[in-house]
Amino acid sequence: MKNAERVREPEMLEHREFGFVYFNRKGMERHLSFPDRESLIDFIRSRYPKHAYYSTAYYISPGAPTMDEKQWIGAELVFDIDADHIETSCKNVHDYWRCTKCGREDRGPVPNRCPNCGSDKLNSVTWVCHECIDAAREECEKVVDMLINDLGFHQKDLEIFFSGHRGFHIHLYDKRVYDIPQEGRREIVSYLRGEGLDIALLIERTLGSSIRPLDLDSKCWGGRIARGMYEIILTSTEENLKRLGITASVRKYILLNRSKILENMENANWEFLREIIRRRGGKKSIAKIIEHVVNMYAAEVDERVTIDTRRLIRLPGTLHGKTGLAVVNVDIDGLWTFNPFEDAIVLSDETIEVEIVGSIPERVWGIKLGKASRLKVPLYLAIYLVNNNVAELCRR
Amino acid sequence: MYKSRVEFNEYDIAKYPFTVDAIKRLDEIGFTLEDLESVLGDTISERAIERILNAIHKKTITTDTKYLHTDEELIAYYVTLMALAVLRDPYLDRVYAVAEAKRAYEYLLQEPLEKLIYIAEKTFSWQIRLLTIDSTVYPAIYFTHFISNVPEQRGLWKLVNRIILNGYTIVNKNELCRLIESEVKRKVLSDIENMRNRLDIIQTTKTIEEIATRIRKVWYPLKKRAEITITTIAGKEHRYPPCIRRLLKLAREGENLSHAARFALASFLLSIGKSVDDVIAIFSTAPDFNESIARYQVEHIAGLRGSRKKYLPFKCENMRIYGLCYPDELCRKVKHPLQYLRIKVKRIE
Repeated sequence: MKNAERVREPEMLEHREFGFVYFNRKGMERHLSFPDRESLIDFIRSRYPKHAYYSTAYYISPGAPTMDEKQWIGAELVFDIDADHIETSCKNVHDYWRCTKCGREDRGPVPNRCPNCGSDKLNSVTWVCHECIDAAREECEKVVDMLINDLGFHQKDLEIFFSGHRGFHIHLYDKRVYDIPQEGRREIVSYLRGEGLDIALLIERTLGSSIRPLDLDSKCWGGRIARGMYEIILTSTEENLKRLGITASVRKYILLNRSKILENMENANWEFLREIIRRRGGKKSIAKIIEHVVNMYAAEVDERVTIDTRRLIRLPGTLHGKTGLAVVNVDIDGLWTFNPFEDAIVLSDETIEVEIVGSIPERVWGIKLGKASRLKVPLYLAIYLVNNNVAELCRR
Repeated sequence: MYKSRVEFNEYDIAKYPFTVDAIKRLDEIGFTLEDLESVLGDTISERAIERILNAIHKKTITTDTKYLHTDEELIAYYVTLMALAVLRDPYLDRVYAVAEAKRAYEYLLQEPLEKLIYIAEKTFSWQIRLLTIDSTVYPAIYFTHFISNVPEQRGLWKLVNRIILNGYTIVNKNELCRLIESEVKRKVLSDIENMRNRLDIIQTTKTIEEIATRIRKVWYPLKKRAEITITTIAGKEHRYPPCIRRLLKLAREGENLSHAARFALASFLLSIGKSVDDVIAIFSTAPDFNESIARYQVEHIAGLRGSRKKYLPFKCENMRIYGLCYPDELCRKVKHPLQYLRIKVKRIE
């Protein structure tokens, strides 16, 4: 495929704002607009930007310098899932930071402030690996599940893109979301994260109303919690209930009546909750179980991206300026077979020699690098190493 | 979609002048702005002025039953919007829209469910389904209408606490009225805005200008006082976290803040040393301001009443849950709005 053909312009291109970051200067050039695909491609060809973005919003005058003059019409709904914000053990292996103030350095996730001197000026070198991608994939799957099964969107209106670095962007093009105000978008994020779940209300309504939120077959949080509770009770042992913080009296009740409780749940009978509540620490124990289930199912998305109705997001088909990987479409059904270190590589694999000038992990993108100070690596990897400031190209 | 067979008569048109049925009736009457200059114009412009003054002073719009079925009432509504368009004052727009929505809410509560659904579907294009559970029929609305119109984000107004079936959430009649109320407010605001955008095409008339002048006289002194109060009290606002800055901006624009939003703002300002009177003054711009209730609540937060416990502002996590968090880069480093202020002040020093 020719490189230009890869660029996937957004729908209603003429109503979008574009922004670019270049190799040779700081900051972003914003407020650009293009009448058609051809002029967009011409611009990218002649300016070869490091990063390319477009607005999730569409405007009457996207090229106007201020938001008021642009005149907002609506915006896609976008979700950003980034391994940076998910706890993974691989960060202890491949991420590294150094405080510019006191010189303290360490491996692992980059903290917000230096634990030694409290400064927030930290230099960091971070890498992306299969484990990072898998963590992001899991969150991505949760978001897609909730968008389709809970909120009733159609798979055909959803697209997933690999972000070019450590995560995915999910774009939702359903017209029903275009005019949702910021507050509403904030609430969607809250829903995906399971935030603000009122446990007392959930129990009260399950025990005292004709429409019960807790229901094994339900396709919203009530269902997720019911199924999670079922699983916990099904697999419960003295130790794991204790680990969850369940009181002795409740543990005893659950373990003695397990099959009865499970049977009741299957028959949509939640009266056993009253039994648990009556016991010492009963309410608290139920809350512990539910909190555990919510944490299990909650999706980690970057709220700032979703609630910002004037956000610029990476243009599909362009390259991420740090990694050189392409922002490519990922088939929803093929989410788990997608391999960014094969499927998102578009640069040449011709071998090139680099000199290592910084600390590098043993393996990058599945390629073993070894400890030599000069390495022969494929061009696409050389670009990543150079952009991450740990290698320099050797003159031929 | 639910096809409701509802009779929408002249009373309904006077009660709900923002509906598509009302606009259709307006077209049928064929009233023009020139007609406003005739004898008939006097009652209409008086009524338009009364509507806006009601909104300013009473926070709602009262309608004498003798007007309730007349075309004049409908025409007066659109003349009012026109006058607001000419006034070009977003704060007043909001005060008016809140009052108009409140008026609609009071009427909606008295209506049968079918009529509520009729208005929501026909005027606001809501997607509504009727779901039968255990042989009882419940209206369910598509969740986007729900989240765009909830009055606050806690308890049953939070999506996470609702039963959702394929994107639709079941609502009761009271909830439906409250959600339509917010939608009416947004509709009134956008109707004024649309009229304003067409002002260069439509010629306004002497009468409209006169209405605007009379409103200005009453409104400007009140508005000025409110704006000065908030700005002087808030002080070095640029140091505040974005969530608090946003709430102050909304208060300044006369937006009706949710209970949680008021708590967040009041507890923050009290924690940084503002007095109870200052905080009450900030809320005085709210469209539904009631000094004695506000005083009671603010004093409660300040720990002068009830449990005598001084309340701390919400931490960031709770701000998020209540839908009040609008983070910037610095927010990544803090877990509490007061921490943000501390970092900002430190940096400036």
